[in-house]
Formats: sequence, structure tokens, C-alpha cells
Amino acid sequence: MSFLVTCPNCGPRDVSEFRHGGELPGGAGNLPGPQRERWYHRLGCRRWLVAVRDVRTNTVLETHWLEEETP
Amino acid sequence: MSEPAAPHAPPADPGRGLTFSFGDRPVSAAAGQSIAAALYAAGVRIFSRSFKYHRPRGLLCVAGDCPNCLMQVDGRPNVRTCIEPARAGQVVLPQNAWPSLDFDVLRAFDRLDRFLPVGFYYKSFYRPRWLWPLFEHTVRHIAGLGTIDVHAGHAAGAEVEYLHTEVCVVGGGPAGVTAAAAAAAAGAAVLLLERGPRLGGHLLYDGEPRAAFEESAGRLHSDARACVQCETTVFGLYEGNLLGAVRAGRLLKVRAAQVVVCTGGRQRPFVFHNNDLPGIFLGDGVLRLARLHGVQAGRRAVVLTDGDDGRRLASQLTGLGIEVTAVVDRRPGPANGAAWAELAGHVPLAAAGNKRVKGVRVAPLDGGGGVAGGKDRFLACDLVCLAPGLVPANELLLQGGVRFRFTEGRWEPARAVPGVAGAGRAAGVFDPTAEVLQGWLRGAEAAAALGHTVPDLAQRRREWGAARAADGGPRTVVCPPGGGHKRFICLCEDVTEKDLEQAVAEGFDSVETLKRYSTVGMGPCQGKVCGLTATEVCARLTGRDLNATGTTTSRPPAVPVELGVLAAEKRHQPVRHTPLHHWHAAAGAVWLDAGQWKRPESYGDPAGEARAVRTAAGLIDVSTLGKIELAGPDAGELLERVYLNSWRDLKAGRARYGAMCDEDGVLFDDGVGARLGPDRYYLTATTGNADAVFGWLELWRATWRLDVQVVNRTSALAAVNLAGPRAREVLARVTALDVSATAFPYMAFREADVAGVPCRLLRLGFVGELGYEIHCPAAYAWHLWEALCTAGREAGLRPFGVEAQRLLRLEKGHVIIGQDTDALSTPLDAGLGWLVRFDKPLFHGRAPLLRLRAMGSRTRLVGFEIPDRPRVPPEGSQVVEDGAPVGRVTSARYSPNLDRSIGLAWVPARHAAPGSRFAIRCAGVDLPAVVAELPFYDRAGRRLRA
Amino acid sequence: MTTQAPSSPPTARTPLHHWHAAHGARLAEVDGWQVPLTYTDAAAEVAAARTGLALADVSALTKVSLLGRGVPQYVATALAGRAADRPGGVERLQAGDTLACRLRHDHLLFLDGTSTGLLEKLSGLPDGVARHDVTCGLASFWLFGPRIEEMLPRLTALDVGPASLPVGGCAETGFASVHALLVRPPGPGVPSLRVCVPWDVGEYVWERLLEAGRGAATLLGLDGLRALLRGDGGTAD
Repeated sequence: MSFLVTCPNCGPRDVSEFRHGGELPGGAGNLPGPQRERWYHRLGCRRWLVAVRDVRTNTVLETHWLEEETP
Repeated sequence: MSEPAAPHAPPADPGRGLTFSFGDRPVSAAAGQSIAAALYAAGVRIFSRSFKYHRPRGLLCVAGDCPNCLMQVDGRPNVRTCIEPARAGQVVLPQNAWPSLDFDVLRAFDRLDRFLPVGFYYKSFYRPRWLWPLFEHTVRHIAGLGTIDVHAGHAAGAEVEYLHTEVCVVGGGPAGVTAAAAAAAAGAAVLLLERGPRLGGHLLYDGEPRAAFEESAGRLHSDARACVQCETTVFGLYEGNLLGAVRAGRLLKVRAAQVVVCTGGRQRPFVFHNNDLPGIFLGDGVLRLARLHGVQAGRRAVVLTDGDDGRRLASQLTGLGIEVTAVVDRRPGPANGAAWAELAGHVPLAAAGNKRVKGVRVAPLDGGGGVAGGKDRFLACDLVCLAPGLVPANELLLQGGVRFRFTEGRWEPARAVPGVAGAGRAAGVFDPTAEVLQGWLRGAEAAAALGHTVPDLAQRRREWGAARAADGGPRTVVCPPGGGHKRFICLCEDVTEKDLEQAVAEGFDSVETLKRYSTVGMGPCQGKVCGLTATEVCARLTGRDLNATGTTTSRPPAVPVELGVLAAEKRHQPVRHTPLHHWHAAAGAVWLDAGQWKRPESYGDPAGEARAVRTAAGLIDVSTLGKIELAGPDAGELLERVYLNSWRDLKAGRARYGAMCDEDGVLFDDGVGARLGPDRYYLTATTGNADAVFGWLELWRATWRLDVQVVNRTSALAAVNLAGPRAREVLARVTALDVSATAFPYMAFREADVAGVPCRLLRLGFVGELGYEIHCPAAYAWHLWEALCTAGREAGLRPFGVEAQRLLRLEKGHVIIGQDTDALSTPLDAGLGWLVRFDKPLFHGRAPLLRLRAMGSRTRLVGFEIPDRPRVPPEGSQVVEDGAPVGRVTSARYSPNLDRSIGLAWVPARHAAPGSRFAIRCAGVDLPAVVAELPFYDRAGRRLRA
Repeated sequence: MTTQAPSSPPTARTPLHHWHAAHGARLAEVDGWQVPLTYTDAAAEVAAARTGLALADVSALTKVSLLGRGVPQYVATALAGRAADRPGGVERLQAGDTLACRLRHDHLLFLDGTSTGLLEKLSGLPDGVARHDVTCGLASFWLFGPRIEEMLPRLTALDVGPASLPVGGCAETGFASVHALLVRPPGPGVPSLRVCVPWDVGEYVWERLLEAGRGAATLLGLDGLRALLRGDGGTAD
């Protein structure tokens, strides 16, 4: 994996700075297409964010803070 | 920055000669010459023996593409000697041949080919099974690619360098240089990576110097926005436009917003009987050997072609002083009265020769797609030049997601990918004018995509369109009809046309399965020589067109890379030191790796250290514990939801043991937490787990939007544990705090100065004695430690290491998460069920633990003793029942204090009751064990509450 | 039971204390910290910092972090400039050598030029701001000289070019595989970079810096550092 994730605080960063935290609860699960996932910026601001990632291409379409996620 | 290219300037400098050894003979080379060129000049013609049949193989591509010149150089296997510069003193050895390249006894396999059909290893050797070791040994000996020196040891490891640029151009030929110059002129930051030592690409060997190229190269070198790096090989284009490259044994990771791939083209081979004989070259390989390395490939040449390339090549060869006997062209057409014989409408049938080519037999095509019988003729020569036509060297483009389609006789990019473009031969453009125009356009477009202004983009697009339309090209047929069974397609793996026919007949009729079954394209060249030929054969045999047949997937690495280079990032392995590290080192610590931490396992006498703790006092550095502070109105709420036990009822100034589970109810971490005030808590986490616990708390703080700050103070605070019956008296010497049992009881928390250092003190009993865990700012740890050591000298205080601590805690039956538990262990099974507060409405693991409680545990973690024997089963030993494994030992030690072997083990729940007996398999013998009540030591806990 | 006063006032040590001693540093106590004054000769160290590459262990300089939702308000009212308005911005406080680094909307980190007095200056914080002395949490190195730029790409995958990490900017990122804060102090003078890493990897990162410097890095002691920051040649002492 070598794609970029845009951290809402730190800007675009190499994915290796982040830890994957799984799909958000309530997601459809393991389907080809965009997936809502939790990512932790462990080597940056050390906050959790939500990334919408197209799992077919590893393109991150959108990111926002986990706090901003509507429960 | 390198010098501008001077096409055809002799790079090999005969004035500066050097000598290396080839086997046992010295070989001299000119500076700048490749190993293979020097060997060729010294008369070597056989450079390797083929993978399966041990056929002699000579130079073919002289471009580092094919497998023919792989040799062992200074112990490194599989070096592509045709592009590896010769260096003085090198030791070069051939591979896969015995006793020598010239006479290889395994050549006999060449006559056994009917016993070695395609996929033979799937069809033979698997029965009888007991013979497999013999088969394996034999096969490995026969089919080899060099020898790895397994005793070489670890090199220091390659370095890694991360580069960033707006536009990265790969390949410094005419298209690449023009693309880089155009992007830089538009204002973009440009990085140009070239594999060879100089810019120029194919102009260095096959063309006349061109003004357009010279002008671009000149501009590039004077442009401060452009950086040119030669001798840099790009091996992969990964997602996010990350390029992997190697330069001088260093890994480069280049992140570019725009990538322009200008990696050039490749001459294709022809398929005919014995087409692998030494002396048969790809046409441009002969030019490279002559013009880059100053070595003549032969004296009399036959050129085999399927288009105008052959005639161009023939005149180049004539210019080099090589006599061209004939140009054999598949296409019908009139001879044009050249200096050589022209055989239009002819195809090669077979090459003649044993260890080198002596000539080639050709025949005219008949009208029906076959060969006209009885009209074949023999052309004597010592050099056969294959020039059926060029194809794109497009591996990086394919990796970048660009797809190629076969249209109007050529492979062309069919789908645009944002941020990735190709230009020149790599994109299927072979016309000298068109490739430069396209290079300029792609470079300018890359800059424009980044927001730079390119004034004449529209005009240049029109020019390129016109040039493109003029650059037509016929379809090439590289597999003409003809007989013989040594029509090699894949040289790496010795796969012939016949093998592919048989594989397709057996049902492997898609290119991907055909590749996997026949191994075509699976060798060192990874399909660079054979890939398209395999596609064409597959298309012909299955009656599909080329686009429906397709090509196999291109994956990194596009060129061979040493594993040590790929592992360069692993060079940075963080090592964590506690502030007392060098104190321990000076005291003779035996080190233990605990995650990234270094911890003293002991100071040489773990038994004595443990005894000191039980009888007097001991001091251990526990700075590796995770330390996390929570502050805010919702601090208690966060803990309630994350931990199994309750925290809200904890009073300020008190501490409590706690553990947490993940969402599956599996134990994740444990530690002690203290309440500092109404909204403030201080937690410890297990060694090595601080970051994970912090991330976990942050995750749930954010998810539930709780008003609490979580601060990781692991690195900022050191911690030591002062334990033993005389710990109180030692501590009292260095603090004004009232440390009496009533003022500072068990599981209490205090903040006070110790030896003048502001500290946090927790009265705990991990090792089963009166004990104080003292946390202080890391910068003062040394001072605190020394003050405690001095204060404890009279009492017999000794520093102790992890080994003594493990024994002491085992005597107390304390579980270490991660050692005694694994990824399936729940608190209910691990004897921590007393901790779980099911009356809390919400905490992690509640639902799975409720289910488990209802179902009952299947396995339990229990304490055990080995009666009457001092034998200690190794940790990880199996618990067996009727000879079958049913559990395992997680901790075991001989306890001098109890004078018996004790331990913790996972056993079936039916054996969990104290007194129950089970067996431990230990070096083939079953050791009887008895479940013991925990703790083993001081069951009433009087000592730690003292 | 008797209690005794501590035998001597505590002395603070940086994580490189042992390393400095083993590499010939002249150590002395300054503001309660054992720090290296010089390794060879202050003037030579300063010259190297100006023209090549020099590394100083400044872990002893005070670091204070402000955390919480009140941070934006604090930045708006207490800081004069606008540089720290956004994450990634660094502002030099008017009084003295303190840098304010905006790491996150709710996280401001002060890097002081001394080892005393900063905490006192930062009193009277608004609601919703918690103050932590993180001096010991972060080992801190100060790199000087034009050759910083050639060593950084060997240690971090972050784009540290002037567009991405300009003078007056900061970024938290991976550095030799550990978490680090990189700060380019604003203002004129010798090009410099401050690197803050967890205390426990201080020695590890220091050695990685020297390795990436390929033998070109000079060690810079406190005497040279002071001269450099004053702008003289380091011989006045």
C-alpha cells in the first residue's frame, strides 16, 4: 500500500503514517466500492479520522474527524 | 547532474584498462565497459546454460532484459553482466553449468525433451512420496539460478531516500528529455531518472545526433527546476504515484504528482528452430555492444526482419564494418538494390550450429500462410540479427493502470489514467519526430495539470496529432510458420512454441493460466522478451484476436531488485531506552528485548535478586510501563466503558487493578489506575502496549465525543518499583511523606517528593511483597534510583531484573497479558472473571462475555505444580490428554522459595479444579502436573498489605 | 521511623547524558540540568553550524504543551501574530526565544530557548486549556546548517521541501520510524530545524541523525549554541 490519506489536521500523508481501524460499524462490509473506515494518524496528530476509501483502487475520496461522524 | 549526451561518443575508455577474473582466467576490460562486453571481446561466446535443457546461451539483448548473461559476481547471484560495469578485481563466475560453460554434462537433457513436457513437474515426482527429498535435491541441482551464500551474514542494510517532485520523468531518451524540459519550462519541479550513465536513450546507439534532443538536453541542464539523476533504475510504479527506484544500492522512494514514463521500446525476437543459439542477437543489441561498449559482435551478419527496421539496421551494421550477407524480410516486395542481398517474402526456418550460430536456413512463404516446400536456402554467417520490429517497454505504464490495445498494427495506450502518462517508444510511438513531439506534449500537460501555464499547448497538440497520423506501422509476425521443436519463446524457462501448443490443448487457454502452467514469462526477464509472443501464440491457437487474448498482469518489480534494497526501510528499527539504561549497563545487565524496549533480564544472579526481594528489598526499573493521564468531566465515563471493572466509585488517592477487552471480549491490556481528583485519573498499561492503549482510549473518546483529554506520558515519566519487607524503611529515608501502613495503605496513591524529586507513588504488590511503584520525570530518574540504592544499602537492597520479577509474580499467580493470554483469551477463562462488572450497562466485551458466561468456558488458565520433581516444562509445552494436545503451558519456573516447579497453563475446563491432574508433554515424556490453588505464595496476602 | 532530607538537590539529565560523556563533551550544570558545553571548541562548532551541519541536544530546554478546546481562543488573544492560527504554523513570541508551534486546533506546544521561567509566563490560561510540562516527554535536537536538507530525505517520507514545510512551519510525522515533531524556526539566521522525539528514543534518533549526516555532522554544545543564537562567532566566551 502506498496511497495517500488526507488528514484533516496534517494534510496528505503516506498511508504508512496511519493505522487502519476497520470499517465503521454499520457498514455493508467487504463490498467492492467506497467503504467508510476508521484510520488513526499514529505518526502525526494522533487522532482518529474517517476515510471513505474505494477498496478497488485504494483511492481515498473523503476524510473527516471521527468526532464529526453522525452516530 | 550529468553531462549532456554526446551520441556515439565512445563511453568505454580503452586508455583506462582494468582486469577482473572470470573463473580462473584474467580478463581485461576498458573502463566503462560491461562485464559481458569485456568477456565477448575476450572470445567468450557461451554466457550461460539454459534453465531446463542446459543449452548454450550467448548474448541476446545487451540491455539487461533477457536471462542469457546472468552470472555470479563477487558472490552476488544473477547479475546481469551485459549492463553491469566491469570493475578491477571482480570475481565473475558462470551459473547453472558443470563442469564448465563450454562443456556441460547436463546438456544431455536437451535430447530428453520429450520426457520433460510442459508442466512435467505437475505430472511426475509426486509419487512415491518418500522419494521426494531425492527428487527435490536433484531438481534443485539441475535447474538453478546461481547460489546464495547463506553464510554471508547481514550486510549493514541499504539506505532509503524519500524524494518528492511535481513531475517525475522516467527515462532519459529523446522523449523523456523533451518531456522533462517542457515540464520544467512551464515552471514545474521536475525529476528525471535515467537508468544508464548518460542521457540519450536509443540515440546513443541507433540514430544520428538530433538537434531537437540536444536543445532539450541543454535546456534541461541549465534549468534550476529540473534535477537529472542517472544510473537510477525505476522498478515499480505504485498507487499514489509512488515510484520505487535503486541507485548505487540505495532504495529511492519518489512521490510525484505527475509521472511521465519514457522507458523506450524493445526489439522483438523471432521464433524459429534453434533460435537461441549463441550468435543470434536482437538487432539493437549488436548496436549497443558496438557503440556503448566498443565490441564487435561478429563479422558476417544475416538480418531477419518484418519491416523497415531490418534495412535501417543493415546500414548501421555496414557502417560499423560488419558485412551484411542478407536481409530476410517476411513482407513481399521488390528489392531496392542495396549493398546486401534482399530476400523479400522469406522467413527463417532454422539456425544451424552447435555452440555458436553458423548460418540460418530461410524459405519463401507460399500464398496460403505456409512455407513453400523445396525452396529453402542456407545463408552462412556468424551473426544473426533479429529485427522484426519494436514494441513498447511499458511495464511501468501497465503498473500505473494504463491499458494497451492492439490497434492498426501496434500496441497503444487505450485508457488515460490521471497523473500517469507515457511518451515515445514506451507509448508505442517509434517515429523519431513524433516521439519528441509527444514527449514535449506529455511533459507540458503534466505541468498544466499542476496549474502551471503552458501557452502553446493547443498548437503543440495539433502538431503531435499530425505527426501521429503520419506514423503508421505494420503488424509484426514473430512466429512465422516452420518446423522443428526447438522454437524457443521463453528463454528464461526454456519454453518452446510446442510447449505452449500442448498447454493450450490441455485447456490452459487464457494467457494468465497459460503462464502459470507453462511458466512462460515466469523467469528472470518476467516476459520482457517473450510476453507478447506468448500472447500471439495463444491468440492464434484459440482463434481470438490479440485484444481479446490480452497480456499478463504487470507487477513490480519491473527489473530485478536485491531483497536487501527492498528491505532498506527496515534499517530503521527503533530502540527504546529507559532513563536508567546506562546505569543497568554499568551494573552488568543481561538484556532482554521487550518490544522496542531494552530491559535488564537480570544483573547476573536472578535467583539472588528474587531472594533479596523476598527477604530484604529490591528495586526494579519499570519505566517501560505505559502511563496515561485522563482529565475532564467524562474521564470516569470513558474508563467505565473501556475497562471491565468499575472506576467511578474509586476514591481520590486510591488505586485499583483493571483490565480491558476488545469488542470480541478478548483481553487486550491490564494495569493499575489511580484517581488523582474528581475528573483526573492516572493509568498504567503493559510494557510495549502504551501506544495501542492510548489509541484505543482516543478511539472511544472520539466515537462517543466524551469531554476528556487523554495524554500519553509514557516517555515523560520513569517508574521504579521498590519492593520487599524492608521497602518501607528504605523509602522513609528519602521522603518526608508518612509511609506508615495506616497513612499510606495498600492500593493507595500519593504525590510527594522523594529524594527531592516530585513523584507519584502507588502502593502495589505485583511481586507479592510490600511495594511502592514510584513515578518521576524521566530527567530525574537517575537521581532517584541512586538515592534509593544508597538509602537501601544498609537494608540489603538489590536491583532486580525481569527474570526475578517473572518468578516472583508467578509465585503470586499474576497473569501477564500477552504471555499467559493470547488472541482468544477472555477474562472469564483467564481467571479474571471476578473483575468483570456485568452490572455496568455498557463496556467493551460485555455482549460476548455474557454469551460466554451463559455457555461456560471450554478452557481455563490454571496454576499447576509438578509434584516431587524439580523438572520445569519449557513455556509453550503441550498439555496432552490421550496423546492429543488439549492445552499449553504459558509460564513455568522452579520456585526456590516453594522448592518445586510451578506454572500457569491452559487446560480443558473439566481439569480446572484444584487437585485435578493432567499431563505435560516435555521432550517426549509426559510429566504429571496437578492443578494448584492460586496464588502459590502468601495466599492471604498479608505480606503485600504489611 | 525517621525521615531524612535528600542528600543533594536533584540534577536533571537529558537522554543523551551518557552519550555526551562518552564522546568527550565538557558537561556542566546549567539551570539544574547537566548539559554539554562544548565537544571540541565552540568556535569550530559554530563555524560548522554556519557552513555545514551541526547537531545540538537541547532536550533540557523547557517545553510546555497547551491542550484543550480553549486553545484557539488562547492563540487569538495571547499571541500577537497570526502564524499559529493554523495547524502547522510556528510563531516566535515577542519576549525572548520561545516558539509557539500549533500542532492541532486544540494543541499548542511552546519550545523555549532556556530551561527556566516559561511555566511561570504561561499562567492565567483561559478555561478549557490544560497546561503540561512536557520537557521530559520530548527529547529535542537542534540541527543547524545548509546541509540539513540533504540528510532529511534519508529519515522521513514527509515532503520537507520549502513548499510543504516552510520556514515558520512545523509538522508531526514519522522520522526514522518513530513519531517526531519537525519545526523550522521562523526568522532570519542560519538555517535550522528542531526535531522533537519521545524521550526514550532520544539516543536512537540521535544516532540515526549522525548516520544520515554521513560523518559530516559536527556536535554543537551549549556555548556554541548560545553564540550562534546571539549571532557571533563563539569566541567571545
